[in-house]
Amino acid sequence: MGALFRGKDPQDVSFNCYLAPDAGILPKVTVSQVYIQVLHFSHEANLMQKENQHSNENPGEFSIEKASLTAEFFETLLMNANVWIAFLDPKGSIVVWNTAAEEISGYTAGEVRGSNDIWKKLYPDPEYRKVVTEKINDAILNRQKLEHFETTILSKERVKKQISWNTREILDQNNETLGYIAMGRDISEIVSLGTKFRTLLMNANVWVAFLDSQTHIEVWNNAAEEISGYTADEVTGSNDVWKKLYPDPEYRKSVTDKILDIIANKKDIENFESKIISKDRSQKIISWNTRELKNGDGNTLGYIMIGRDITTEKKLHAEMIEYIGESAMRLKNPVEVIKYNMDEMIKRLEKGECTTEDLILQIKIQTKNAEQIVENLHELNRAVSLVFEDMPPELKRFLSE
Amino acid sequence: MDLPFNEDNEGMIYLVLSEPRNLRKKNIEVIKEITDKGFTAIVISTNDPYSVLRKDYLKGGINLENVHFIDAITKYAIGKESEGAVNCTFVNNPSNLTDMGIAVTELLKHIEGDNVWVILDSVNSMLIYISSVNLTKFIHFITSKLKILDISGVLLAVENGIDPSTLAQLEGFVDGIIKSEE
Repeated sequence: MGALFRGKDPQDVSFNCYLAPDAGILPKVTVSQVYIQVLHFSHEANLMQKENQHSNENPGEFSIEKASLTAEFFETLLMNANVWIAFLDPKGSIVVWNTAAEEISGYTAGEVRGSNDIWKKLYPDPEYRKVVTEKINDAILNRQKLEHFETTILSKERVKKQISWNTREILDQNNETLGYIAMGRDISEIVSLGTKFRTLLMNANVWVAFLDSQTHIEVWNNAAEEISGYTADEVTGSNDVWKKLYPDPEYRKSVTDKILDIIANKKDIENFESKIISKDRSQKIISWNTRELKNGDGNTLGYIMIGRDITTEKKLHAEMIEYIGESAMRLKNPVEVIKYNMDEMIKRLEKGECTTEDLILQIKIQTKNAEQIVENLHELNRAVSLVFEDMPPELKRFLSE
Repeated sequence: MDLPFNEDNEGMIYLVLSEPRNLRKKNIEVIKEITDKGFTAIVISTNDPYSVLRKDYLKGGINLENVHFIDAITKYAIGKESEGAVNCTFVNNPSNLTDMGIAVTELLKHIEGDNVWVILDSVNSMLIYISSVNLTKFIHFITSKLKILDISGVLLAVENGIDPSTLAQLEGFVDGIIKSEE
């Protein structure tokens, strides 16, 4: 004897199945029959792909007799599925509570079956529970399924967990409600990782922006706000901020052309420098690294832009070059001056044109010149040590002595 | 060397560039040319002391009555002025631009009415003691003063001894650049 079950959605496939001896709380439908619906629902919800392989191959022709699968098989399958599976009767009382449900919630099937009190324990905050319940009731009323509905539960061990729910109403062949299936996936770790990643991204000390495929800004981290002066609220959802950052239309065009050219050649942008005007009208130099992000089908998801404010670095570099030029002028040539002065003094001595007094004076003058040149050199060394911070300590010490 | 003397006595300032080994020789040539034309020369020296320059000028046949010295190196080197110095103002330190400026101003007042040339020897020896920023400020001050008073001047410098940006600024203060042919 078999029973035919068909979900409301015409995509659902009907099954033939055995009546299991233990009808349990459901007089009209067997636990095994529920399992089959659950099995198929779980396949649609893409939650149990491995377990549904057989039904994937023959979705329209699946029958227990042909597959030689028993109700016990399905029971084992569903009870041991690695996702939370709960079946509720039309009044909302728990009928099925699988092992994963026990593990995630901390409540055994024995503690929860036969009532709907469990939800008060899982959602102890009445306000929050009301929000969740309203969402679910709304779906029920409109006879719609809920997919990827995320809630935060409090397990028996008082641990908060994030659950992603897929729920659906189960109907019999007369379109009468048999009950409701709820499948939950514990995404706590994913959310935690996601939160950690987002925290990392938002607090990175470089400008991070994510643009969608239309180049509208989706993500604008704290460093982007700090450097540009524009908050995430001001920029997300559009690409207008670039007109503000590059107010000169010609310069903006040259920057855009360069970026588009690189992207058109399917290259990533590396260390591309541009000058922006921040909100406080100050000019900053940014070094950009940009990459196009694609999905598995090769379609553009968007663009990630990482910018480093190198304004100070550039300024220091320019100052260093200027300083080196100045120092060369104040070191190289003065040494030559000393040399020629001494040469001149030697010639005078040789000719007898130089008195001892003159000689002493000239030597003292050149000594003073040399002292000053040494001081100038020390100054240069100190400047070099400051700019080149990664210089070995022993070299720094040598330069400063 | 032929300095372009202006018969209308309009003050002109020149940057004279020389090889380092010829700098003293160029100094003597310039002073001789100026004094031979009947002008009075004020020599600001941060390179050679009064006593050496005086002997060189005498040896070169220069009439020292027409030469006034501003010696910014002797007192710095030996801590005192040269004894028996004539027509010489001593500045205690080559980096003391204020005193140097005052000395020039006072001398110009003192010899007002005469045709005067002011010679700075040399830009490069000044750079031992002061930065290019302060040097250009000082030279701007001196050249501006000379132009107001219609007084001509010569800045002696070593060719290829000044960086391009400093040279560009100096070129802006002078009316012409004369490069030594030697």
